[in-house]
Amino acid sequence: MSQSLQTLLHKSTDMNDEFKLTDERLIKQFQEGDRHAFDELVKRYKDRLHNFVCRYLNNQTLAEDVVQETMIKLYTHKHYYKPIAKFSTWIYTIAKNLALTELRKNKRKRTESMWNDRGELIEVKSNEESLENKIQNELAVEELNRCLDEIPENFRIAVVLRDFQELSYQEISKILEIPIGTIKSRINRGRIQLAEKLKHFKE
Amino acid sequence: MDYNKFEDRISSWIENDLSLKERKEFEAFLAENPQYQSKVDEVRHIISTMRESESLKVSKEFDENLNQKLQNLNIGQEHSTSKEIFGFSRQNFAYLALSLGAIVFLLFQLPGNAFSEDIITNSNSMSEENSKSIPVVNDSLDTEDKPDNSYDVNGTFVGNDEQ
Repeated sequence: MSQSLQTLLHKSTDMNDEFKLTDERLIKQFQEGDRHAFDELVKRYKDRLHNFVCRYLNNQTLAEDVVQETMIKLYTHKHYYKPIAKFSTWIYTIAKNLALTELRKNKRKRTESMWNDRGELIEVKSNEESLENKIQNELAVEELNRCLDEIPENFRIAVVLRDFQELSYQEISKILEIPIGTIKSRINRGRIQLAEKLKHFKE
Repeated sequence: MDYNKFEDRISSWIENDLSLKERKEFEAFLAENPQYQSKVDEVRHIISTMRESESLKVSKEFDENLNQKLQNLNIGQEHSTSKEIFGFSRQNFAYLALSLGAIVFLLFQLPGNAFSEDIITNSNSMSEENSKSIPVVNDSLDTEDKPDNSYDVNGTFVGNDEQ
């Protein structure tokens, strides 16, 4: 690792991210040949992208493959990034496109769902503990995941980016290449549909 | 304000994303129709549940698998580069060399072609033998219109009965 990057990354952990390199700076360093800048970007984005893709596809294994593919694209197409856009928008767009391709491919054969035939949550694990042990309102989240899978795909992706990833409307608009007004409307519709499905689920 | 408009604005109201006028309209509608308060509460609950939910993380093997894939990618690239000759793969280079060889061979084999040894000899330095066998053009009026029968089509002297 280049000495300066190592020092700066070290400082960033020690000093409450005061000197934390921006994503845009890291991708620039990676474009200039610093492989460790790539590692840092992977570290920053692997879980965020996984959370997004997993909620969107409702498939843990497939989501991990998509995130790996996203990182490989970042590695092989690093020069395609231009600093006119935020790095996060760029990487989310890559992940979204790859996830969308997978979703279309697997629309009719979603074999490895987060839910088994009996309606039980399967293989959704965080690093150490199962998701069930880590979430406070586990039942609500399980129900929510199931309902999320049932709302239209274009509503789901917007809701996931807004409420799980907590991205701004502007960034979601750029990632999905849809006007902000449409994004707001889809998110609102998606939330209402989720609320209705959740209500039916409880009844 | 009707119900559809109210429903369209639920998220914006929760996220404080309405103009003052829109906000007042929304709240007035809600005050007149308290039965819809539950709708707002449901959406609010959904939002907070999603935002408070634990992030799904990648498996422990993620980094290892990714590095393996990248390593394979690098090896693949290096491998393909080492096989190249003048920018062509070995196989393509072999095809190209064979094709060129075949073209050159054919050019030399064709009769009367530009590379033919006879033509080169005849055109560049006419040998003594040829200079004898090929007739010199006779400019005299007597022979001008008469066909010369002393030579066959190949320029070989075949004799002339008249002479």
